[in-house]
Amino acid sequence: MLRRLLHHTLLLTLFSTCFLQSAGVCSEESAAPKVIVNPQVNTVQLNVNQLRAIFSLRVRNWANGQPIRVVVLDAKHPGSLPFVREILNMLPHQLHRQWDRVIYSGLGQGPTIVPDEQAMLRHIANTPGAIGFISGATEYDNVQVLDIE
Amino acid sequence: MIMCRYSTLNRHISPRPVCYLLCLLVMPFALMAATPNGEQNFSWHGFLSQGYVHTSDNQFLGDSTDGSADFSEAGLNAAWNATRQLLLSGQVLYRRAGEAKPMGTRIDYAILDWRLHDQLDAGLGLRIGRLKNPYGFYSETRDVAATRPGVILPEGTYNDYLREVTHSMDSVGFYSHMGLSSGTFSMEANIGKPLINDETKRSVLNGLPTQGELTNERALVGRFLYEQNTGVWRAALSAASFSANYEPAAGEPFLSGEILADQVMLSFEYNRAQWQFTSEYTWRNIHYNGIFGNDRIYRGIGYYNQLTYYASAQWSIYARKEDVYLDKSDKDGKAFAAESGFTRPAHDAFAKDITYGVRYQPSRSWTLGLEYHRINGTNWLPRIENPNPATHKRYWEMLLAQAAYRF
Repeated sequence: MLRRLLHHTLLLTLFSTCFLQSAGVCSEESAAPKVIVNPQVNTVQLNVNQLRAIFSLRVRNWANGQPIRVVVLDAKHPGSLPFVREILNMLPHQLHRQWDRVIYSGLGQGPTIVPDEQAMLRHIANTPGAIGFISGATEYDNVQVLDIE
Repeated sequence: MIMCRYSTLNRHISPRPVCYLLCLLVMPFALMAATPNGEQNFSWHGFLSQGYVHTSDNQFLGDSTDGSADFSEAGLNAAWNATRQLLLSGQVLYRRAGEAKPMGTRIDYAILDWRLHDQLDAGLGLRIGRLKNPYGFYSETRDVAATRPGVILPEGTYNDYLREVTHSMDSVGFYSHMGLSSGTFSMEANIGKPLINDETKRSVLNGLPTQGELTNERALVGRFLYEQNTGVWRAALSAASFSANYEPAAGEPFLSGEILADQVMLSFEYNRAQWQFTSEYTWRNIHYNGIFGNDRIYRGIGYYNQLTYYASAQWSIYARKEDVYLDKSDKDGKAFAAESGFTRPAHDAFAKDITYGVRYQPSRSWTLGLEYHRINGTNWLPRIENPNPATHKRYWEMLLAQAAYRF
């Protein structure tokens, strides 16, 4: 009985600690979003500025010559904003403005917009040169996670 | 492909050789793009908007004193990465803005883009064809409602007599961008022949009652833009220079001469939390050399400040104050009225506009907007809809509503 009570108390304490601390052990499980690419992409590391250049559609090809295909979650998906704010450290309307300029003044291709993370993973795995993102907790297969400086 | 079909249908604007050339260039590539292999290199997008305008006095975008729905825009575009370095793109635009020209369908842009340098930190390239001119923050996508800072652009600063010059032209262009540790710097410049129609001509000639012709028109448009990485601020310096020769019709009281118009624009935007502050300031000098016997110069200025509050991802409200003067040394327009022999009212020489608006964007596709203007002055009223200067009312109000869709 006492043991059970102790167990419960411990759980409760752990839970509340995690709930209260934004940078605690538990939040690591839902860590920052991950940038993922098709396994054929040779690049393994990018800095944030390079990542911004890619998602702002300023660059057309990877260093190995493969065309870059930008894939993003629909802006309404809960995984979209954390990526833009925490990884790119940009404002959503700032990013959309870059896309609009590219799409509506003939500067290049717009991003591919997918409805959810399953579609994102499928698209990245199947499209050579594709780059996208998933939330930190999402399990993945057949894609490569990029190291962001 | 689509743009070729439309250009032959289009009887309002004579197709230009450059367009034909580009159509011929694009056709084989576009056919190749239809094959499964090329499919992912090809994309197409479009937009559609419908507006409603009601004014207390004066006509703007149709017979607006009775309420007008003559404000529609639609566009369809395609882009194709032919090779690693070559991009082909084109857009067909349909536009109806009251009686204002150009009306109907036309080729908005048709571009062959050759990327010479393409790295993660820097890029540069050349373009040829009908290009969108880089001018200020909004000129390149000015017909796409969702990209504007309101239902309509600040009229005095953007929708001016040089609209077509600062919009798109048959030209060659250079572009470049460079990633710095704190932001991105970009530079663009186009040189070519602007698309001049009767309305532009009328505006360039500042309402001169003439059947004369403009010849040898040429323009140079360029922009430097710096954008801070995290979107806190961006700033731009743009410049456009237009020149043409003028030949009066037989029997007119004007002489052959030259028109030179130079304009410079400074643009600034600052974002903090949910607030956005935007300011653009433009100087424009128009020289009429020899046309009136003596040389005449108008030194105009126009500027606006806008404050936008993003209440949520969907809702935003904004307020804007815009002033424009045909000549900064004649802000009340008295000299202008006297010069015209009092055939033009003094308030044709300026416009001061206060705008309040609300915007709802339930998704990336949809934009709904409502905007109210209080205006003192008639400088940017289209002459084609308000041909009799005596009817120009100095103080007027305008209500605009718009629904826009894009994909």
